[in-house]
Amino acid sequence: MADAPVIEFRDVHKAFGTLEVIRGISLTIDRGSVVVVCGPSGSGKSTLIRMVNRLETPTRGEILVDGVSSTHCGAEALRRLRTGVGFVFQQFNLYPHLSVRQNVTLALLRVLGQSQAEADATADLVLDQVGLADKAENFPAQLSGGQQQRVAIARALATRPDLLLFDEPTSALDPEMIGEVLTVIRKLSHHGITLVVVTHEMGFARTVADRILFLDQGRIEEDAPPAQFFEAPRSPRARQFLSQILSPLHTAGD
Amino acid sequence: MAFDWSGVLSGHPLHWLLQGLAVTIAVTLVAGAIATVVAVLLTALRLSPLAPVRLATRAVVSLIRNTPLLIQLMVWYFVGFARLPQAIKDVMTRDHPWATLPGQVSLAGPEFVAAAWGVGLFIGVFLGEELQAGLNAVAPGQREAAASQGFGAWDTLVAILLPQALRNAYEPVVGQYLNLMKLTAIACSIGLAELTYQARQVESFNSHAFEAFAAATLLYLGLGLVLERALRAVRRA
Repeated sequence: MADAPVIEFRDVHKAFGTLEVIRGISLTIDRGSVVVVCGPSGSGKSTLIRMVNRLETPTRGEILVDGVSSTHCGAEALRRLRTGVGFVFQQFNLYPHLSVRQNVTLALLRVLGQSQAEADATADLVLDQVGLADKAENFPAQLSGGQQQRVAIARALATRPDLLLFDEPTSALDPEMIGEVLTVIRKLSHHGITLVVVTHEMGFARTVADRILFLDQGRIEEDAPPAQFFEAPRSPRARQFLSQILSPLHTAGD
Repeated sequence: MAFDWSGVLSGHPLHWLLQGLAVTIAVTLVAGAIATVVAVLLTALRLSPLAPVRLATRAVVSLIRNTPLLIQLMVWYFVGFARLPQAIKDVMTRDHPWATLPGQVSLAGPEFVAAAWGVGLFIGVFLGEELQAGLNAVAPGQREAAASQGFGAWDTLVAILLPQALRNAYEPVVGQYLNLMKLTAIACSIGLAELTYQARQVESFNSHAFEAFAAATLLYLGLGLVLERALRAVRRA
């Protein structure tokens, strides 16, 4: 299975009521690749990755993760699939009543049935990976936003997933904390884990991604390596988007 | 008006009041445990994916919430006990020296069981409502985080949502446990020899009604203050 894609979208559609958010997406994502998903607000970026582990269910089509349909599998298979897919949210979503260590170990103990010693060892390891080994006994409310998001990444890493999904991981952060989170994600990109990152951080996309997906109105408008995407975007929407995001004061008409 | 405390703070009356206090404490603890289990179960049933289960849960909640506790106790004591199989009735009415409180109150007897179950169920329903309110205030991202980590419905509820719901609704929850303690007084109507029952017995023994009920009031007050402090200590832990 080494060459099989980690994720495969097969003609996926998603509508919320009458609002069509995803309008027919087919694509494959290779093992070990780093994919950045970008596009204007409301283009369907978050919905796209939220469907991978079925936080949203497609209205049509299906998504395979490691060859298993996350769209059509039963509850038990879905739980197994989800433990192999780490998800990092924009709002961190740490468990506020638990310490940093407990946030990381809860799923190991309750979902994977590991022993306390085993789970603690993993917690030490992944917290060290995100540079927060000294915060294990703190509670989320005692940490900065950047630290909370790094704990969320450690929590997602704890089950040793092959695939990590990031839904705008730095959008809720103060500007001075964005760097520490992106640095952690960049380090992960050297570990062979497949990363799919929804982000507006174009500097990060340019230097870390292998591939950029540009979404507009629920369709993939551009699918290219960063060099090509930034230097010579093909679609007019992507050109307009880039000119706005790279130079926000510059209006599209200028 | 002059109080004459000697009529309640010595001899039989004092003995009765202390026995009553012990029974009130025991029935409060057992009913409190029942209420806790009922509240968690109702909360879980309300989150069931099956519509009939949710509907049935709502119906039970409405029935318990909108009828008097006094009537419910009468029903459990007179109707419920009578409907039990004879073998169980025999066990309940037999003497159990290991399960007998001061004043010959049997923990397995129909009065104690009906009172603990009736009050526990009644408060459990209200406690469930408080937990539901607390649950509604938990950020939706918490459920998503739990789902993304592969937690099942029960683990999500017990390990992630309920602890947060409890924090959100802590004051009303404390209030419900205090209500529970006070409502055990109604169990005197089915003959449970708890504090109120014993205060009435003192009154009929020597007519010291004011003193007897004043003493009972102070004992309830003391018990309530202890319970309140204990529950707050649990929160800090």
